[in-house]
Amino acid sequence: MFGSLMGQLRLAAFVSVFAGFAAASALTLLLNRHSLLSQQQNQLSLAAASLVAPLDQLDAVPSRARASQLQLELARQSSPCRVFWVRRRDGSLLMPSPATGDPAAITRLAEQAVGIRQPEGVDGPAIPLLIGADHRLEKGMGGLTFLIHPLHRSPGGSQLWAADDIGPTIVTLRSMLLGLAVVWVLCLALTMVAISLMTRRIIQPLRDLNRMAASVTTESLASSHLRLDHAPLEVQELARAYNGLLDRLALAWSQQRHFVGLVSHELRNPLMIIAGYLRRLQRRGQNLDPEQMRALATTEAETHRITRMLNDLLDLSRSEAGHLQMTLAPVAVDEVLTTASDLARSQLSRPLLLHLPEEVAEGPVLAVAETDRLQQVLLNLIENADKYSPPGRPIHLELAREAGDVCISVRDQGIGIPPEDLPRVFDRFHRGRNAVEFERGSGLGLSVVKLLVEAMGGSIGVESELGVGSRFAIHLPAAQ
Amino acid sequence: MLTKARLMTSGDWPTVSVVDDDPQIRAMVAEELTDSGCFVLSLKNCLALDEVLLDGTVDLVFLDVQMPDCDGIECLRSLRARGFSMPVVIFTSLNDPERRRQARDAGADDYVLKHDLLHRLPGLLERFLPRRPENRCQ
Repeated sequence: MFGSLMGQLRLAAFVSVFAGFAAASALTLLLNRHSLLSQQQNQLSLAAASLVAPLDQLDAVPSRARASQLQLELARQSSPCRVFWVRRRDGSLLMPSPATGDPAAITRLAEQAVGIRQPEGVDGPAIPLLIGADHRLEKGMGGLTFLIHPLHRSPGGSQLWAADDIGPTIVTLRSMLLGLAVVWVLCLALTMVAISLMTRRIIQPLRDLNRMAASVTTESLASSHLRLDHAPLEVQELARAYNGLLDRLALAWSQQRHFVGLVSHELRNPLMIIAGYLRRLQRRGQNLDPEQMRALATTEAETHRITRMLNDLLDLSRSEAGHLQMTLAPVAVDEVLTTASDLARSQLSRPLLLHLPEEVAEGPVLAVAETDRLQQVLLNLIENADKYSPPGRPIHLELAREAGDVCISVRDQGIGIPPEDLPRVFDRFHRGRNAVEFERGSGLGLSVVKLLVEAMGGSIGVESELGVGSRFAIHLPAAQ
Repeated sequence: MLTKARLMTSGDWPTVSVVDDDPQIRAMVAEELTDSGCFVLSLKNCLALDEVLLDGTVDLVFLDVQMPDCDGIECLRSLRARGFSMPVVIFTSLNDPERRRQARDAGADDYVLKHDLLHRLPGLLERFLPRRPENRCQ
């Protein structure tokens, strides 16, 4: 998930949102606690104002009467949830009197606070607080939590202490924390959804670019241009760079096509002369022995093969330049089949069996096609069947009518095509695994066959079984 | 320069002219035509054809399309415009439907691809020169 750009963007966005939110929440909580505590402190200071003067006087001139009066004043300011007491210079405690609650409990609390007595139970040491080293929390008097700290130190060394119940403050802080946690979880969930949608939106132009680039083929090179109007600047720059690359590729490709066309055209005349004289030598040569005749026949057959390959190359380069044109007209397919098989037989050393339907006797089987091209297609298919069949196995050429179509099939008993190669058998330069081992070839023949058949408005399919043989079937629209 | 006298010596043989800029192709087609019982005038361009036609008749013309100093189809058009009606076969290495259509419109009697020519030659001669004497070599 985090291997993708989208995953990484999501993670980064989510982590920063999480960290920001956590910091903001912690700060809010701290500020709240501080303000609550300082409010309490102010109330305490107000209450203690009437205690400071008697304490200072007692410290300056100690007397029993003053001590009793201070004790009375301490009691007057104390309440069940707020207790004041004095720790005198000699360490003795001056507790409020008369006490408002349980005098023993209050004394215990005060003794714990000033360190005379260890706290009871297993609570351990007092909880440290962030608001001052002399502040501490103690439990006592019916489970209340007291915040205990010295309020005033007189010049003589006596201290005024206060224990204040902070239970309500803690409850307020807790509920605030709970509220924050709920808001936090909700916000994070919403943020997660928002981040997911946003990153998807940010990444989308890149995905579009990828999809468009993947759909560019050699045929659509010149006409392909990636357009991303609403994409971010960087992606648009990428698209521009890509378009530049496409233009340069298209130019190189067209130059290559032009070159192939030129070369194959220039090669045709010399080939024609070679083929012509070979033919003449065989027909007119008076004193050639059988071996020489065979050599001449082989040379002539190879010359025809080169010519056909050149024609294939020319057709391919024309079709890529958009110049492959056909003059389609009703063609007597049975006659083309007969001519093609006659031509092929002169160069084959195996039987070629032509199967025509009985209706041929009544009239020609007409299909919409171009005679020369159809013949080229048939010769290519027959040559292909011949190349990949062990010696002596026959090739069948069949013609049939099928519901508005004319079906021509070329069947062999050759090595067959492996199932994994079947879908790519018409791809240019693709050659089957077993084909490469069996016979040399350019990988062009079948792609030209498909090109021509489709240009004539027909279709071609193939069935094959390894070691049994292949059957190529062409369907052409029947002519009325 | 080809003279009327030479044309006259051809006797009963039909006169066939081959117009192509490539001398090897001219020579080969000429040999094949001679073997088939024709008197052959081998010409390198349309201008030469015009000169021959001033001096006498030609029974059949094989005309290339792409030549350095002239275009076979233009040449044919001008021949037809001047009233010459002998059969003309365009032979070329261009298998281009557009060229084929132009040739037909200009008045060509057939359009043959060069690599098919020798194969189709007997049929063409049969069609355009039916009254040819027996081929001495066949």
